[in-house]
Amino acid sequence: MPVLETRALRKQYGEIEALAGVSLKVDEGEIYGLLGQNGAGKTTLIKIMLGITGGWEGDAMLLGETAGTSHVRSRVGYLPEDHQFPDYHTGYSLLDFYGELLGLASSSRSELIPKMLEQVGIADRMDYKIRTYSKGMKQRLGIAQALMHRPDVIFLDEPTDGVDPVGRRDIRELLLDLKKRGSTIFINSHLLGEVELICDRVAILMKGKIIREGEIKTLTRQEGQFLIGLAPGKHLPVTDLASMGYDVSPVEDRWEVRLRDDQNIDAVVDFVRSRGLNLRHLVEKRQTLEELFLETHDGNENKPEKPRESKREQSENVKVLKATDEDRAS
Amino acid sequence: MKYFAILKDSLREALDSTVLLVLWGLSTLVIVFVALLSFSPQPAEETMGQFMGPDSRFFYAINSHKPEVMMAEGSKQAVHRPVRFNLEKVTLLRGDANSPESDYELTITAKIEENAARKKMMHGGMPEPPDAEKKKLPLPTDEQIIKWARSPFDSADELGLLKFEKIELTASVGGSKTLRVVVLGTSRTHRIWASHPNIAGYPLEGISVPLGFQLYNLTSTVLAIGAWVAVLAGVVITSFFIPNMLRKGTIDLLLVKPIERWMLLVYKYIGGLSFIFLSTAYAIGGIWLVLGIRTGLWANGALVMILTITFFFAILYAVSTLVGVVTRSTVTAIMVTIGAWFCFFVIGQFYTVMTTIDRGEKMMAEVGMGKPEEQRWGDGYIAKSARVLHFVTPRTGDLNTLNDMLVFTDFMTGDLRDMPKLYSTDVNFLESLIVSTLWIALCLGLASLWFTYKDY
Repeated sequence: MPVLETRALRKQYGEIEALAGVSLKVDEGEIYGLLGQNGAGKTTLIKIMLGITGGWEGDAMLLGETAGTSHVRSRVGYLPEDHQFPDYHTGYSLLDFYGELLGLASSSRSELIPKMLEQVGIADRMDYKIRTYSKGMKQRLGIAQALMHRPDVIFLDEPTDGVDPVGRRDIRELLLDLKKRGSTIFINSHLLGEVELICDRVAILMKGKIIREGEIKTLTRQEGQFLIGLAPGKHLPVTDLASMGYDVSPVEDRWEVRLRDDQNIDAVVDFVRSRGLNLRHLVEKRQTLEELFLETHDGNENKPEKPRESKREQSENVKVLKATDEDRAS
Repeated sequence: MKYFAILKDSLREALDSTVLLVLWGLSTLVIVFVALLSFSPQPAEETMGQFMGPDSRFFYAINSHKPEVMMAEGSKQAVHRPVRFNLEKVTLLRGDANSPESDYELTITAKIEENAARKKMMHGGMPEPPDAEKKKLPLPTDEQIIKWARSPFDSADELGLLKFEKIELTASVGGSKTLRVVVLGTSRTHRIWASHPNIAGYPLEGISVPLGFQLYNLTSTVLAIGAWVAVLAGVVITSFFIPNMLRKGTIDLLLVKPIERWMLLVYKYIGGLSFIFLSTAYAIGGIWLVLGIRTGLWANGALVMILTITFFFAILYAVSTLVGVVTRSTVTAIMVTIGAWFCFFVIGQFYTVMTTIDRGEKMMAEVGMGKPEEQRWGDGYIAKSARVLHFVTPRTGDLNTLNDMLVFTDFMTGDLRDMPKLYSTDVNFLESLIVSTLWIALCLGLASLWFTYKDY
């Protein structure tokens, strides 16, 4: 059973459609990244899952229950974007307050809080008022409060925002460690490099719709695509390679070779050398997540927008989705 | 547990405010000031001199909250020539001299005055009969003089403030009578013993009234001002609580906790009340303690004021909470709350004025001097509006009346069961409690609904 699942999730703020039928699944132990521009609906999706925002349509399940219930919230950790902690607290007293609201016993809190603050690297400042903290320290404190009760699912909205490179590395390691322990992590971030380093799967949300979703390695994959460069004046025997079943095409002064699953670049290299040609350049083609994001964004930005569905059409779509799921179950 | 978490959070937030520290500092100053006061008991002659006739200091003190008694006594005397009572001698019958627990025999002279003396007098707010100056008023009989003379002693006896043993006419020469009165001290007599106040050992000359009455005046003044300041400070400090909680980035962190929204709001509300409860408990408890130590009068009933002031604040804080939830603005919450407080006060005063006019008009009608019904204010549209407004709004004025009753009774007799004997009021406290509680419930209910269904 997925830890998080939405089906045809819609949310309207007046005339603005924040989510326009989002369906996604996150499995246990995954680190899932939600990418998108500002206003794409990423935070709205998280807020729906956590019960902060209501009035949505469709299905939203978290840990096997309807999203947002009081019970399910006790198993969730959350770091909001632009969080503002009450600055009259110290780091310790804030975690103590939140821990008490989460129902943690006093003994657990006094054991967990120093450990957690140690993990995020601000234990030496835990008795100082939050108003004396830097932005990075507040961010670390935010991570600590989200993780202190060992939640099953962790929602992090821009978790490394304002944190220095060392801090970012520490947070990454912390999240990977949590993943190892079986926690499921849902991240919203603009820092695509960070997301790429830790997420198993990502979805790209644009104008309230998921336009791409999948494993990072699959999405960015250009596996089997190589660029070959030869010494100046030399030419690749394209016809011979084509007759051997390789898909080769010239790209500027180089050649792009696309391999099938049963083909290997070593064979191409051997063939080229057998013809007395010296390789000057050989590299596997791959997109970064940022390139993928920008490509996806630009591609969709240029698409003509479909006319908006009426409320009735929307609810019919939800019904169809539900019916399909039921059919599958039966 | 979650309640205590929010309570601690509210307290932490309040402590962060300098207003609270200023408030506690002021409370401490008041407690220190009260601790500097002491009261020197005066000779028995001074105390017994307070009982001379229905115009006496004691009679005024003990009946100051029973206007109908003052009015009745005044109107009874108004139809006779006035009598001036003087204490001639105090003889110790038993016990130590000048002790409140001793028994005394008093020699009192009663001198019947000329008509002219009556001209200057008003009687319980009622004008003298119009023909009083034109005809010679009759002389009071001996029985009437005895009755007037014993009237203050009877009041004291009824409240156990002393035991009134007997009164007798011992001599009568023309318009001058001599009376002999025997009074026995009780455990409560020290409450009415004439005392001089001292501040840090320096006597305040010229003040000599019953100890209990002095303490009542002192405490009620200090507490009335103190309560006003505390509630105002409380409104300002706690108005930050809800808007601060609802700030973007703060509220999210609370809403994801496994606690229902309405509960979060109500706990936050109770947290604000706890703050004013603790502040009031500190101030009133401190005053109670130092006065008790300095005078031996432990006004335990005054401690109830901690609850009544908290309830008063609860009414205002419910308004502040509703406005805070809807507008998320501290300034708006403060302004609307103070505005509501002012409105409740005005409505209460308006109602009191209308009720007094109505009562006066009815009394005039009873003696055949009333206006026709259609011309009476008390039955008019404005008076009816005042009654309706008063009925549906919280009765903050009633709480002030209750506070006054508590302090007065506590210092005068020390037994709250004596309240009806000391205080006349038309206030229906049960109705007042119900209406005010419903008002709080309505404000909190609306605030909870808004908070529950609002997207953050």
